[in-house]
Amino acid sequence: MNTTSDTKQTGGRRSFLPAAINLRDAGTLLGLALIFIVFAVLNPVFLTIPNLLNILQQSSINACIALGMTFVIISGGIDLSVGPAAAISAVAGAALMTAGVPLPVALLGAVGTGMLCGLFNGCLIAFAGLQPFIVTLGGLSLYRALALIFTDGNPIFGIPPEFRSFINGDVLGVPVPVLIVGLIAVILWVVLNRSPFGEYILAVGGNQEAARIAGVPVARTKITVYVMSGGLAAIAALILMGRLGAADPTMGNLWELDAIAAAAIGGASLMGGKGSVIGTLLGAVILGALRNGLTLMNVQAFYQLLATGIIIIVAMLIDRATRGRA
Amino acid sequence: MTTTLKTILLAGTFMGSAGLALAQDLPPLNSDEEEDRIDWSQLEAEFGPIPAPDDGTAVGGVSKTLTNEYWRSLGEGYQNVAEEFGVEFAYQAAPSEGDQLAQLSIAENMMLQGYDALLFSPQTDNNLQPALEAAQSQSMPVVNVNDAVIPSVEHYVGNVQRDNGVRVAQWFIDNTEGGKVAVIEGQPGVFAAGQRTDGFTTTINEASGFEVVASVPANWSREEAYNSASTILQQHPDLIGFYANNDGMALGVVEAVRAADLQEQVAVFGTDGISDAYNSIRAGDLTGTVDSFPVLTGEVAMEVALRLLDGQDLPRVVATPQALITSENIEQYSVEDTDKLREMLLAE
Amino acid sequence: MASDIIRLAVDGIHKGFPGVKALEDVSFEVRPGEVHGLLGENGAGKSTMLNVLSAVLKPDAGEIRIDGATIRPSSPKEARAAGIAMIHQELQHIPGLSVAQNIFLGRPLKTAGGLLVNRRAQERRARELLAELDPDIDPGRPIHELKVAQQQIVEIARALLDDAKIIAMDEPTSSLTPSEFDSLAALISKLSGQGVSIIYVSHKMDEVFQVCQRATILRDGRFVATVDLAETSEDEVIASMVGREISAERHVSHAGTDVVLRAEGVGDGRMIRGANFDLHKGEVLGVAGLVGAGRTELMRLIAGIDRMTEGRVEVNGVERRFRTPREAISAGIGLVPEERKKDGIVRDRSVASNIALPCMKRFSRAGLIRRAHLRREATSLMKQMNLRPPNVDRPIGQFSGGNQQKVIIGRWLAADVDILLFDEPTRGIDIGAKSEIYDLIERLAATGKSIIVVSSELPEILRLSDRVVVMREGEIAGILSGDEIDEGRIAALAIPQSKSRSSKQTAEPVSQP
Repeated sequence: MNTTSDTKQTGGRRSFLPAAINLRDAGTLLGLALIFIVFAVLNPVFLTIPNLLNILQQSSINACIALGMTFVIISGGIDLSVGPAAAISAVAGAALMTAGVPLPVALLGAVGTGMLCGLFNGCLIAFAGLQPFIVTLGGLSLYRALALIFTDGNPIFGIPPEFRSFINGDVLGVPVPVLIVGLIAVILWVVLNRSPFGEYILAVGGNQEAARIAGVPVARTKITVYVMSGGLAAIAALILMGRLGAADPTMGNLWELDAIAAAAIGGASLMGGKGSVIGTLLGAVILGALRNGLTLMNVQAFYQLLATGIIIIVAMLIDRATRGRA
Repeated sequence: MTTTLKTILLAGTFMGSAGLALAQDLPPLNSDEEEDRIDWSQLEAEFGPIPAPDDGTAVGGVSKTLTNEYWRSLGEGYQNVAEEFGVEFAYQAAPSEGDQLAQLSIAENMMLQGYDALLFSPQTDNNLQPALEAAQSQSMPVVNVNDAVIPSVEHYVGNVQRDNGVRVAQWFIDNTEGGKVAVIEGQPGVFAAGQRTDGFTTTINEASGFEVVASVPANWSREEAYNSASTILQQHPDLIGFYANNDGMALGVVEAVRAADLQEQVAVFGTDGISDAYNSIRAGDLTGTVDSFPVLTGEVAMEVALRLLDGQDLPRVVATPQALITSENIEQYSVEDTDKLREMLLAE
Repeated sequence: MASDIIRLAVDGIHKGFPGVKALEDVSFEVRPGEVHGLLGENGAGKSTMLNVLSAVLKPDAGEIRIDGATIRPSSPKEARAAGIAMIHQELQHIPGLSVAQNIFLGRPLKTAGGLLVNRRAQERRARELLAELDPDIDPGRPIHELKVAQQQIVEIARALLDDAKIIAMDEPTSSLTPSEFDSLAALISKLSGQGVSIIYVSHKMDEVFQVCQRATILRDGRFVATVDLAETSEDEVIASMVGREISAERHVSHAGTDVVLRAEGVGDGRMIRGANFDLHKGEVLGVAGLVGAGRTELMRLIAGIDRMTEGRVEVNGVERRFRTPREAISAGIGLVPEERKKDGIVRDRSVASNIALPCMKRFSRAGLIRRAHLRREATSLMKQMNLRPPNVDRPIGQFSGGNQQKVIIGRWLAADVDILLFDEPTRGIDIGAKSEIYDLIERLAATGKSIIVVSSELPEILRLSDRVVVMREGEIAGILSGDEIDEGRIAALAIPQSKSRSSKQTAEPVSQP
C-alpha cells in the first residue's frame, strides 16, 4: 500500500505545465520567424532595416486595434464596432482641431469619443444582457452612420501640421506610431498580467458565473474592456489621421476582421478566458509582414487574401494540436 | 534589381525626412477646375514625342482593386506603353475597394522597392497621402490617375469628372421631353462621385421640365444600386431615367428596371465603359455609358510618367478623353486597337 | 445465475495519456448475469476503464474478450454491436424528441419503402420494451418531460434493443432519490436474471453492497483486487480503495452564542418562502432536505447570487441587502458552490489566481498584484490543506475534484470571510478527500468560522452538524438540535405531507430506515 509515492510521481511529471502559457507565444514567434526567413530568402529588400520598420509602422494601427480586441475577446466578448468607432473618433478629433481647439484637448476629445462608443457597447452588454456580437454589430452601423452624417460623407482636411509632423516623425529612426503602440502594449501587458483587473478579465472570460460568485465585479470588468477597445480604436484613428492628413468618415473599413485575425493568430480564444498581449502583437506583425513580403514579390492582392486566410487557419490548427485535450 | 543598397539609402531618407516634407506649396487640386491643364491630344504637339527612358527604368502602379474591370483595363494601358518602351512595370491593387489601409501598405511597400515613378489611383481623397509625401520628399514623380484626387498631388491624369455627368444630362435634354430622373451615387466623399453627380444635377436642373427625385449613394456596389433603384422605382413609377456614377451600379439599376418591367420608359446611364456595359447596350438594356477609355487613359498616364522622368515640366492636369456611348455610336467605338481609337478621338 | 462461465474478460489493459498512466495492467472478469461493481477513488481509472470498454478510448495494450472471443471495436457503435452498452452519468438523449425517437436514434425502423421513419412501428416496439421496465413511460412523450430516473430507464431500453450482453452504468444513482434507487435495484436484478451482465460504477458503498455480487477495485490506475462482496466488509473495501484507514469520529461542537447571521422571512418570490434561521459563531449548521426542496436556492439568496425579494438578512446584527456576491463577500459571506465546474473554478487559471479572485486588494500594492507574495501565501495555505500536487501555479482544471474543492475553500480563507456556505461540499469527491474536507470544516468551526453545510447525504449531515435545518418545498420545515438530530426525524420533516400540493420536486418520499 504505497499510494503516496504514486501521487508524488504524477505531480512531478506534470509540474512543467504552467510554462504552457508562454509556449503559445513562442509558437507564434516561431511562425513569424518562419515567414521572415522565407521572405528574406526570396527577396533581398525584405530583411533591410527600413523595410522592417516599414512593416512595424504598417502593423501598428492593426496592432493597436487588435490589443483592444484581445481584451474584449479574453473577457468572452467581441467588438465589431472598432472601425466605425475609430472613424467617429477621428472625425470628432479633426472637427475639434480645425475649430481651433488646443491640440491636447482635441486629442482627448477624440479618445473620449471612442471611449464613449465603448461605454455604450459595454453598458448594453453588461446591464441589458445583450449579446456582444449583436450589440457591436449595431454599433458598427450606428457609429459609421453618425460619422457620415456629421461630415456629410466628406473627409475633414486641415489637420494641424504640428500634429502631423509629430505622428510622422521618428525617434532614432523608429516611427512614432510604432513607439506609441509599443508603449500601449507595455502598459496593457502589465494590466493583463500584473493587475487585479487583468485577473478579473481572464476570470470573467474563463467562467463568468464562477467569477461572479467569487466576487469579481463582472459588469464593471466587461464595460471597462469595451471602453478600452473604443479608446484604442480612437488612438489608432488619430495615428492614421496624422499620417493621412485627413479624417475620413469611411475610415476603418474591415478593421474589426484584421484585429480579430491578429488576436486569434496570437492565441486569443473566441470562447474567452485566453489571450496574450505579446501574441496579439506578433499576430499583427505576422499579418503585416505577410502583406509586405507578398507585395515586394509582386504577388497580386487576391493571393495575399488567400495567404492571410491560410495563415489564420494554420494558426488555429496548430493551436488545437498543441493545446490538445487538456 | 536596382540593388538593395540603393533601396536602403532611399528608404533611409524617406524615414528620416518624412516628418519634414509635409508642407507643400501647391494649392489643393481640383482636377476638374485646375487651370494648369492640357488635353491629352496636345501632349505630343507641345512636348514632342515620348522620350526614351533610361535603361532599367521601373514604374509601379497601385490601383484601387482588380475586381472592377475598369482598373484592370487601366493597368493594360500602363502595360502597353511600358512594353513599348522597355520599362519594368508592376501593377498591384488592394483586395477590395474599401480596404484603404491595405492600399496604403501596398503603395509604401512598392516605394521601398526602388521604383522610379508611381502611378496610383487612391481609394479615397487621402488614404495614400503618406505614400505621396514620401515620394515627394525623394522627388519621385507620382501621378494620380483618375477618380479620387489627393489634393496635394502634383500630377493628375484623368477625365473631367464633372463633364461625365454633364454629357448624360445633355442626352436627356436632347432626347426626352423632361420628367423625373434619379442619380445613383458612388462612395460618398469621393471626388469623382461628387463631381459626376453635380455635373448631372446642375445641368439637368437648368433645363426646364426635369426633376431629380432621388440621389442616393450605392457605394459603387451593383447590389446596393439594384436595391436603391428598386425602391426609387416603387416610389416613382413614372421615372424616365437613371444616371449611375459607374457601370457596375448602372447594370444593377438595369436589373431593377427590368424587374419593374419599365424598360420602355426608363433610360439608364452608367459611367466607365466596361465591356459588360457595352454588351448591355448592344442587348438593348443599358441606354448608354460615358466611356472614359481606361486603356487609353492608362497609356496616357504612363506616357506622362515617362515625360516626367525625362524632366519635362508638364501642366498639373492632363485631361483624358471620354464619350457618351449609346446604341447609335457603339460600333464605332468598339475597337480593340487603341491606336485606332486614338486616331478617331483625335479626329473629333 | 452467476456461473463460472466468463461473459466478459478484461485482460492486461494499459492506457496512458501524455504524462499520465491512466490504466496499468488491469484485468478482471464478469460472469453472465453478474452485477459487478467497479470501485475506486476519483482518478483511480474507473472512467478510463469504462471508456475503453465502450471503445471511446483505444487501449495501448491488452485485450477484451466477450464469450471467449477477442473484440477490437474501434467506435462506440461497434462496441454496442459487440454487446457492450454504456449508460452515462450524464444521460445522452436529445431533448425535444420523443422517448421512442430517442430509443431508435441512429437505427430507426423504416417504412416499407425504406425511405421514411416508421414512427408507429417504433412506438409499438418501444412500448413492448418499456412494458417490462416501466409501463408508466409513454413512448410518445418528449423525453425531457420524464424524471431523470425514467430517462435512465429509456437508456436501458435502448441498450436492450441492441441485445446488449453487458450494460455498464456510470454513477447511475447520482441524481436519483432513494425510492428511485430501489426501483433501479429491482430492475437491475431483473436484467441480471435474464442473463445480462451489469458493470456498476458508484461511490456509494451501501448501494454497491446491495446491488453487486462482486466488485473490482482500482487504485491509481492499477488493479487492486476483485472481491466477493458477500465475504467482505465495507471498511475493507474502502481501505483497499484508499490504501489507508478512514477515520469517522463524531463532531465536537464549537458553537458559541453570538448570532452572526440571521435570516427573517427570506424568500425569492418563486421558490423560497419565509425562511427564518440563526447561525451562531463557530457553529456548523446542516441543511437537509430532498432534491428540489430549495436548499441551494436559499444559499444563493444569502450569498447575494440571486435576488432576495422578501425578508431581511442581518450579519452581526446589521441588516444587509446584497445586490451582488461581491457585496456579500465584503460582509464576510462566501459560498462553496455545488457545481464546482460551473460556479466554482476558472478552469484555465492557476490555483493562486483562483484563490486571489475575491481578495485582489489583499495581494496588490499600488494597483499591481504582488505575484511572489500571492504565490507564497497561496502555497502555505494550500500546504495546510494538503493540496496534491502542491503546485499553486498549475491551472486548477488539472486537479481532481477534491483538490479543486480545497482551492475554493482556500479562496474564502484567504478572503478571510467569517461565514462559509458549503453546498454539497463532497459531491463528486472521492472518499479520501472527503474526510479531509470534513476535518477542514471542523477545524474552521474550531477557529470561530460559522458554517452552513447543505448536503443530500445524511451521514454527512449527521457527522458535521451542530443543528440541522430541514427544508421542504421551499420552506424551512423545522430545525433540529442536539439529540433531536437523527435520520428518522430529518426524513419525517423532509417529506411533503400532502400529495395534492403542487411542487417542482422531482423527489419522492425517502424510504424510512
